[in-house]
Amino acid sequence: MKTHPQQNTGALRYLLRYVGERRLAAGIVLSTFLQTVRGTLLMIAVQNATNRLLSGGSVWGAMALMLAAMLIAVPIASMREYFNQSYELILQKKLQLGLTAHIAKLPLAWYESAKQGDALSTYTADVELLGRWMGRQVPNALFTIFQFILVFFYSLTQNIWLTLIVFPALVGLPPLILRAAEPMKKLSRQARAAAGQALDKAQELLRDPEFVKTYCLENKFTQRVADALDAKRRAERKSGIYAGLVKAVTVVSSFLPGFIAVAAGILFLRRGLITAGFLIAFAQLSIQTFGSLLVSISGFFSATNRVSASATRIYELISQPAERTTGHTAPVDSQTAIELKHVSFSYPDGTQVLSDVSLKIGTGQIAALAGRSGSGKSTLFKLIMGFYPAASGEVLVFGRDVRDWDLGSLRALMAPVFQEPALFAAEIRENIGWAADDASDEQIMQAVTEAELSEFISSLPRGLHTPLSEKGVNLSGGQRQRMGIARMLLKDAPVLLFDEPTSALDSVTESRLAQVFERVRHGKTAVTIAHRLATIRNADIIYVLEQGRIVQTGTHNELIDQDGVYRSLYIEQHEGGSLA
Amino acid sequence: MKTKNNFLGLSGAGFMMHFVRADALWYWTGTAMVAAYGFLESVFSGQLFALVAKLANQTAGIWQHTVFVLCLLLFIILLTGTGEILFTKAAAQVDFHLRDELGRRMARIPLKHWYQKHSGECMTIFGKDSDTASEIYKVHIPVLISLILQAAGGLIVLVIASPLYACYAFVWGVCYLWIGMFSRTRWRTHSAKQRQFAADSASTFTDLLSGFPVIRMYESIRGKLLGKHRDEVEQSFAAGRQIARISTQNRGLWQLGYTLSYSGTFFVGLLLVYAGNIDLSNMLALWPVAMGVAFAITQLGFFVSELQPVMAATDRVRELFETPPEQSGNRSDIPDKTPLISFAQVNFSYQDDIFALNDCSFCIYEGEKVALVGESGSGKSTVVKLMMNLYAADKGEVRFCGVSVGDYRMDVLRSQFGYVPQSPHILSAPLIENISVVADAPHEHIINMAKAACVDEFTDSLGDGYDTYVTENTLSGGQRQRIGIARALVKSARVLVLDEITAALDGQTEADIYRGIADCAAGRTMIMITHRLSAAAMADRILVFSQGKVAEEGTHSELMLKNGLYTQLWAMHEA
Repeated sequence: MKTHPQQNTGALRYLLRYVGERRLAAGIVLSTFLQTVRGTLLMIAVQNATNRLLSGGSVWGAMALMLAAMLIAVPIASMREYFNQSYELILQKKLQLGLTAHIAKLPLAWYESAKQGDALSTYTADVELLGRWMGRQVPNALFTIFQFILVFFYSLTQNIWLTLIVFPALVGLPPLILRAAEPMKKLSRQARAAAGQALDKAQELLRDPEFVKTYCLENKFTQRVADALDAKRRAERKSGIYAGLVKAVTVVSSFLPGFIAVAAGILFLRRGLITAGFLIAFAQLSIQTFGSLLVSISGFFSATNRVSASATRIYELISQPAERTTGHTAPVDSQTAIELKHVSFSYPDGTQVLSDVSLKIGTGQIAALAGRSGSGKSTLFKLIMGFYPAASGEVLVFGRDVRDWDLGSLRALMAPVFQEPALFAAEIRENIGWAADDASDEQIMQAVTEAELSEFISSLPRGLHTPLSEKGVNLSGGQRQRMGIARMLLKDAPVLLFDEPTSALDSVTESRLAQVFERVRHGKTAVTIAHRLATIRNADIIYVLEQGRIVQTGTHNELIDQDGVYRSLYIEQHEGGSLA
Repeated sequence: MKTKNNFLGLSGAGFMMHFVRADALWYWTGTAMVAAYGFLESVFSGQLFALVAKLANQTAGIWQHTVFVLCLLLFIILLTGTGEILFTKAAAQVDFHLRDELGRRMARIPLKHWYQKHSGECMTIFGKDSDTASEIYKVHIPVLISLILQAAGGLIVLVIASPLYACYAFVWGVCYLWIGMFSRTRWRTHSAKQRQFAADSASTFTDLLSGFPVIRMYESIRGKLLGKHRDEVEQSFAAGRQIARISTQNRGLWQLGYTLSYSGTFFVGLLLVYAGNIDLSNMLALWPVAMGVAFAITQLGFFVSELQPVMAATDRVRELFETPPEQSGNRSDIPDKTPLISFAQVNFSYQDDIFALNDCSFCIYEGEKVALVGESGSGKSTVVKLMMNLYAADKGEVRFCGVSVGDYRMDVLRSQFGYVPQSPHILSAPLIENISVVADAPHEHIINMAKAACVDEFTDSLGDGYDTYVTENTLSGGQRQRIGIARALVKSARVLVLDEITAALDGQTEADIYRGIADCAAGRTMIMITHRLSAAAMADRILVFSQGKVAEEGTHSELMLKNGLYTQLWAMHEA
């Protein structure tokens, strides 16, 4: 949005700024730092105790220091855990809420081109990975860096030469481990890609189980999942040999500093330059600190690599340009509900859908769009609803160009009924009632009754509180459509848009609904797309589309008398489809 | 919460571990080799310190000791390196096995169960939950074994060198062990909650995506759905906060355990030296080992607690595994009996309270063209689903060629049907693959069938024709229906089932499609659900559905004479 990241780390930085929570982040740094300080204190204590021990002095003072150094670790460790976990949780929460809220503001063009599975896996897996990285890997890396620095300076004060001998060896080791881990990077990238693929294939299996079952595709589809999983397995197994190598190098490296310390220390010790206590403490710390340092640094690199890919995906989604939220909120001309002036439109992929379309629908009129499948009727609706801007010409709603409207205010004027009403896994009451703010039970019941649903709903033991399955799959097609109609009734907007609202309904229900439309439509503007021309017979004006152009205009009676597309459509329908 | 007969809440661990059978030998060998590291490291550090002490005091035997230490190092390197290779390979194998099984199980869950679960939730189980659950064999079991080896190995060394020291380390460890376990029940409860709410929020997110156009037009639906999502995320967050609180507490206790193990063993070691039980260099060699023993045992308690979130994930994976799969009979031959399909007093409901069929009886004969008509929700689509045994009848009998549909092997029965649903599912794949996926047929055949279904009427308007990458969102209802029809034609099954296929199509296309179907599927049995009575009128026989049963049946002219429901429907249709 504000900054465009040139590379992956840019996305990471953007997201960390997005999450904010500076105080928690500072808490992580501070508690990590305190923990390393106390680690160094412990080293001093152990050194003292061992020295006293070897020289036969009293160790109790040193022991007390040691115990103190260890006990303060208790609150520090708790604190560190608290900050790490809190940050991880807040990061996940903020990103999930942010992503969802943002997606709900994106234009329809995004939805029509996006893969749902990708968005879902970004929402779940990528956000989780990022949270874990921030809450675990980063603090661990910080810890080792702090410890490295502190131990280095402490050792310098104790014995410059021993320090200068041991530390250069340390600097050389991380590149060695990273080198050994290099072939693993490619393999782990492969494994990750395959895991994503497997998730994608599993989604195919899950999205429409009915399709899978009726075509006996269980084996075929599970085999696709298995193939992706197999690619993952192969990459992981191949990486085994490198994992072993890295492990071996890591073990060597974690003991090496201690070893060098001891070997060099022997010489120093013999000359009395250092104490045996210092040597033991130093050797122990070398093994503990530097071993884990090397392991965590190399682990940190590969985790960061993985996380930056996730961060990029989250960033790309969260920085998708949202639909504009500016514009006028009030109509200009209350007489003309919808007017198109020489409108042309083509989709981003270049297919021309509308060319030079002009039409005018007055307030209170009933208009209809007729034409064959693919003639551009639904696209015209999308333009009116402000989902796409016209390439040329003007789309005016109540006298104002859609491009000048505030889209929220524009859409508040319209109540559409789509072919598929998009039902949610929630109660029937919520599925309908959500269409209006604070709809009362009476209002909902009224909408239900008018949409011819009351008989069905009263047959359910739980009535309006019956839960629906995802997409309402436990309802029949006609029931789903009527849910959409009930929503429309509840929204109570001045312009009604019907995209095949009754295609899945029987003629009895359909004609009953026609009466309802007649009633609710009073004073409202209605535009209908219909294949069944009988349903639009009463329209004040019918526009007939053919290949994106308006070829005929008039009432049913006028059009039926003309020799044109409308009449042939009408005749085809009345002959009906013929079964062989 | 399933916690009965559940030792420390760990019964799920056993469930997950049986996937290890996929590569048991190498898994356990590798794990043991890697796990030995903790113990060997403590031995090694001890030897190193003892060597330093020897050097400082100029004791004899320095060279031998040095060689021993070096050999020990070499051994550790080889052992852990090889162990890691074996372990990585075995874990990859087990991972594959788990997910593959899970995928196969999911494919066989009965539809009735499916629709009680949200697809977003299933994806969460396949992805996130099984990832977490797999940590049991990838992280926790190796840790456990390493702890046990460290404790057991250390104890053996200590018992030989200084039984008193061993005794102290053991007793101390066991005393502290319990502290780590205190929080295990709370941890489990909150983890289960956190996961459930996370899955819920993923489901709502999916709802938001799939209802996108509606959400953009109905501002208040958008608001409500976002509100629901926010609640779910907040609830999951709240459970997460509880877990964070527990783990903060536990971290402190853990650190305390470590502190006390560390200083306690040092202190006791010193006492033993003063008491003359062991000498100083021995003490320095044994101290890391004693500390390892004490610490490893205290760790076991924390291990149990930290396993709880993994167990919460395991429960979810396990629930899916334990859902009874679709029942399949084993009959694979289809007898030559008539009628082809018969329903005898069938009752059925999708959920407890949404009844769909009620005492429904009828027959369909081979080669017939039958139309099913009736009000929406009268059970037309449902009977079709019962024929294919997508759902089992609650009461009564559904037969195919005289044999109950449940007796057939599932694929044998379903291969008899070419089913076109109201809104066919579109795979995110090239258009051609969307058709060819249903059968292994030559390309030419597929193109021909696609033509018969009028698919090529719209391929020209797509960027790359048949190779255009399509998704659920890019195709219109009518285009999807044509793809569905092409699929059914490619499958060339004995019974063609068309559920309201032309709802989103204009008359011309509809007529063309019927012509195409007649050419490609001549003589086959055809079951057609439709609201367009003009189309139904052409059928050999019409079944009129009302309230979950067949109210009338006969040819168009017979039914018109009856002056019943059908006549009424026609009157409306004509109007």
